[in-house]
Amino acid sequence: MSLAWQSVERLLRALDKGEFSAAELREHCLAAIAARGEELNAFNFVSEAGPAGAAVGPLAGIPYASKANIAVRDQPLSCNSDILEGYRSLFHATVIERLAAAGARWIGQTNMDEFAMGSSCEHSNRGSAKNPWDLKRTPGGSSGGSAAAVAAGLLPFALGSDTGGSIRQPAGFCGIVGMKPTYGRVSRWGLVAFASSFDQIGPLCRSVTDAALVYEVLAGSDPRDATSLREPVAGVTEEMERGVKGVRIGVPWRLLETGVQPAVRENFERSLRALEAEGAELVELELPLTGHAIAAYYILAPAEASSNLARYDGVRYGLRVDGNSVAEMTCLTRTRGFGDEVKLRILLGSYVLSSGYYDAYYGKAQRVRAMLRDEHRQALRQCDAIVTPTSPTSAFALGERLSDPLQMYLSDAFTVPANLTGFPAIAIPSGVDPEGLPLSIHLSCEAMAEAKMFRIARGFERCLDFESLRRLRFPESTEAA
Amino acid sequence: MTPEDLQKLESLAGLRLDQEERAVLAQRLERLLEYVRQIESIDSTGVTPIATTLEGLPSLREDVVEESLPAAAALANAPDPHDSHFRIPGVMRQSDGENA
Repeated sequence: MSLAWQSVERLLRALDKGEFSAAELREHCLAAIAARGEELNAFNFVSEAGPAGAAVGPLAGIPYASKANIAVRDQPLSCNSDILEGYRSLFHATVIERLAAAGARWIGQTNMDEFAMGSSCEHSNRGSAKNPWDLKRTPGGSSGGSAAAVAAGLLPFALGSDTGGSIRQPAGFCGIVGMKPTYGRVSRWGLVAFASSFDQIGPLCRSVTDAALVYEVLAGSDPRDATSLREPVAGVTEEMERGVKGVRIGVPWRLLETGVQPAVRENFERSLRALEAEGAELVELELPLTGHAIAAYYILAPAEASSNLARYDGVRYGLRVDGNSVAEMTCLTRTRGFGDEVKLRILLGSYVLSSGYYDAYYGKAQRVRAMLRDEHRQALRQCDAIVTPTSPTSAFALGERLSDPLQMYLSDAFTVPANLTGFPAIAIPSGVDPEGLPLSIHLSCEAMAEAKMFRIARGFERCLDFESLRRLRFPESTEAA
Repeated sequence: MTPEDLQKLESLAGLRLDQEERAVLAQRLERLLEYVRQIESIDSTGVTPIATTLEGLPSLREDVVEESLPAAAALANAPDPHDSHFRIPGVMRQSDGENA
């Protein structure tokens, strides 16, 4: 059995006892990546040269990988876009520095949708990563490579970024845990900007406890990020085993009425009953504005993206296609360097920000965002967490939604609201559908209520026992349990 | 969306699409705009728009001079560096049309 299948929690104990060395653990991960990496297309590359990590610390000796939009000094940072091919980072992202100081060992970089725009990892210039549960299916996106790598037992955890669900949706599709912190809780310094008021970095792991251990290292204020929260970070691991007795679970049933696969709904109801049996109480919620979340998001996020991606002009870094003037050079560079999905979103963003349409689209969507945040805040006065499935369907087939962006976007219907509100959210594996594909529960709490969120998530994890389903599908992970 | 509208949008976005791309992207754009227009139905009278979910002032650092990136490092990724500059096509033109 590969050590790469073991949980962060267990690896830390074993390393501490000297059962094996950090170097041996790293070799196990590299061997697992070499054996399955190509088939899964989960990695852009692995490297010996990255930050090795401090000798002591809360994650000492634990190998991890980061998504291709997070800066690691002297390493390529392509965002899986042709426009950044060959670009190398000049500095470490704050999260990379924090992980190095905590002893975690960077091992390589994972595949993603170009500039994190996508829900299937198919908009990557290296081709899609594959879902380890079924190689004909998408691992989800945009952090598809990170999700596939962790789900296949190639390493204990990976970093992703989440703008509309890009950590949680792939975690859901691949049967692992994915967490988006409160907006501002984790520094965005060194994260390539997509939509700055939505983007957050977070962990993808195989257990809630592992996600909490990594989150505690990532979280903290950063003077280099003006949107970083100054409030001290509360520890989350201490509260986690307290159980869910008396916890109020808010369920917006009406949002599940359309577009949700029967197997998803059935599993969702079963998961709620299991939590009820542990002493949780269900509260019915009305969230009428949340049904418009995708519409508001696909105005605001492309607007921010069109502005952020204006920096790719062929002048200072990245691809340049020569032209007779600066304007022509810029235009030719962007036209050749960006893929179709990125172009579509830049066009959409330029449209909603353009004179004559700004108020009707962008201004209106900003108002809807304020209303939606209030709606969730009100709801969270009646309950401790808002719970839905993570995605309306299980992992769809590669190619199935490529020609229909709207269908692709709707796969994020349950994850996007937490990016609009800025609230923390987490996806927890909850079962498999009749085709044997992972299903997942999504929960979101008030801003900075991560401790409560991890405690409820751990409650779900304990009563749903996804681990035994993982062992059936991946017998090689058995001894790790 | 008329071909003129799309052309204007391309120029705002700094893109130049070919005919095939134009047909595909225009159709996708239309469909998305039709979908997002649903927010028109929400009554948002009197609501203050928000650009971020953060409340209060941003956390600004002390205004202290710190070491910055050396010029050589800043130019390391440049497609066409020249001395300590980024070289670009000429902005002014000579009367014969050549870049100055």
